[in-house]
Amino acid sequence: MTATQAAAKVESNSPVAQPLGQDLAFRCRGLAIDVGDERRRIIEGLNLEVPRRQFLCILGESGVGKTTLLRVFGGLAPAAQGSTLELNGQPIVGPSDGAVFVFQNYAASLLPWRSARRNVELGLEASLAAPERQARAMAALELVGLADRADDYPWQLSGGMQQRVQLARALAVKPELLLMDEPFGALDAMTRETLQVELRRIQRESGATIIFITHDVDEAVFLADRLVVLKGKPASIGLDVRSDLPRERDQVRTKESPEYLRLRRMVYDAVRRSGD
Amino acid sequence: MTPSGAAATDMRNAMLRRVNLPGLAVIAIAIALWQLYASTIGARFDSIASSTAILAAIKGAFADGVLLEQLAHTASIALAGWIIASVLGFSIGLLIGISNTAWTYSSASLDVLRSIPSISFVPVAVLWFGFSVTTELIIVVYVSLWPMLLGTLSSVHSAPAGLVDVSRVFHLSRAATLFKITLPAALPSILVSLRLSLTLAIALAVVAEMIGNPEGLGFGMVSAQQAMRPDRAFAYLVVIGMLGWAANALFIAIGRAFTRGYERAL
Repeated sequence: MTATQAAAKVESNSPVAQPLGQDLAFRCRGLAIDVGDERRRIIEGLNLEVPRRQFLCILGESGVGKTTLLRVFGGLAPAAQGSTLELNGQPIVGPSDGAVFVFQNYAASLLPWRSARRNVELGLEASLAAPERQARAMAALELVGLADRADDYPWQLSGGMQQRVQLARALAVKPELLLMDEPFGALDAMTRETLQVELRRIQRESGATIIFITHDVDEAVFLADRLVVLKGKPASIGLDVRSDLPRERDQVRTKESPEYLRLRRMVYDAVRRSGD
Repeated sequence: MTPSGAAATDMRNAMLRRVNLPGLAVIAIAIALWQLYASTIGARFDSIASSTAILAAIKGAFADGVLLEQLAHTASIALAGWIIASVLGFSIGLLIGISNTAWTYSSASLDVLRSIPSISFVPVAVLWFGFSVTTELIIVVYVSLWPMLLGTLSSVHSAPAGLVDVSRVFHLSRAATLFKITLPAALPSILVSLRLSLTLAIALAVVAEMIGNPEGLGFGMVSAQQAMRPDRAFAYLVVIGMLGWAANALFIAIGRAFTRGYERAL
């Protein structure tokens, strides 16, 4: 093992601390979240800094509060008093301009009475005139590989295509931060693997910062630049590790690489321990 | 066969497929059985008219113009009442559905009013407005208001959660949310309400004519009954049935035209 490799290994095993002055897309400090009428605390003392263009996957067992956490990140649900949440240095108080969701349930999130292109235009209608809006929507559909299906309605598209439309709709508003809540959870294995590769490419091309929630360890390790595992009750960060996988990923070669297997084991252990 | 000939055959086949032949056969058999019954066992009773006698009564009543006049009266009152009720019901339902204040103040009253069988308002309406066309119209409007009001209210009040999230994420204004999300999502349930209240409007127009306004098909039917003319009473029954059927068919055709392209999605 060369000295550089050793150094890289040490670094990637240590918790990721962002050096000061790094360009941050998202930041939260002392985040706590209460849910339900009895204000049960599900998240406590969570600190997270996400640099621009990072692909962050957050894992945790089901019921740990992943979806709620993401809704709080996006301003769809409130954080407990005393929490600090910032997007681009601006406090998050409601659904923020720069953060856009891709929901798991694509069927419930697309407007069934609008074509794919008109669905993608939804977020642009208040700000852009029709010609520019259409051009932007078509560019977004191009990016997700659906330009030829722009005039189809959601019910004419497969589940994977519908999820691509939702992704295009999010990308069309050029968000600072893409919040993805198990977006491939309802798709079959083949479609899921294709979309994982696609999403890596789309992220590279669009330069978006992504926070991606999943309970699928393989999906997380394959996609992420950085992996965070939620742990405990109430939960906070149990593992925070950087991935040293190459930027370009491949369903076969990437999954055979020692780094993939190392991360997979590490994350599996962390997720399993989190139940204790 | 030439291509155009093949196309014509295809079209004829398609039209034949839309006609429900077994369904029509059942009706034809029922009419024939009724004829058989009325001319054998039923012949002993004065209150029974045979299929042919009913047909003759329909022809006769159309011929002297009375039935046509009565049909026009009932149809126009039902249609006018339905339109007024639909506009009113939609507006009130929408207002209560989107305004929390309106909801807070009105929900108790709505619960009380909707639980009173609306037909029991007929005598009250006669008391207030006399035996008049006003009474008839008010009864039709009041009764057919409810499905529209409640249908609009519930679908606007409980817009699908997934779409509400979408409108928040993309910062849609209240007006944009209403016109781009809530109302299109409510459209199927509004169409169902419209159809329900159309059926009610015709039914209540006939009831009102029997009790509150001596005009139209309902009055004609009561007159036939009082004159001990079963053939004419049955003739009115058939005509009222046809009116209801025609209104429904027309509604479905218009509804299809309006929702073309996305009916599968709804």
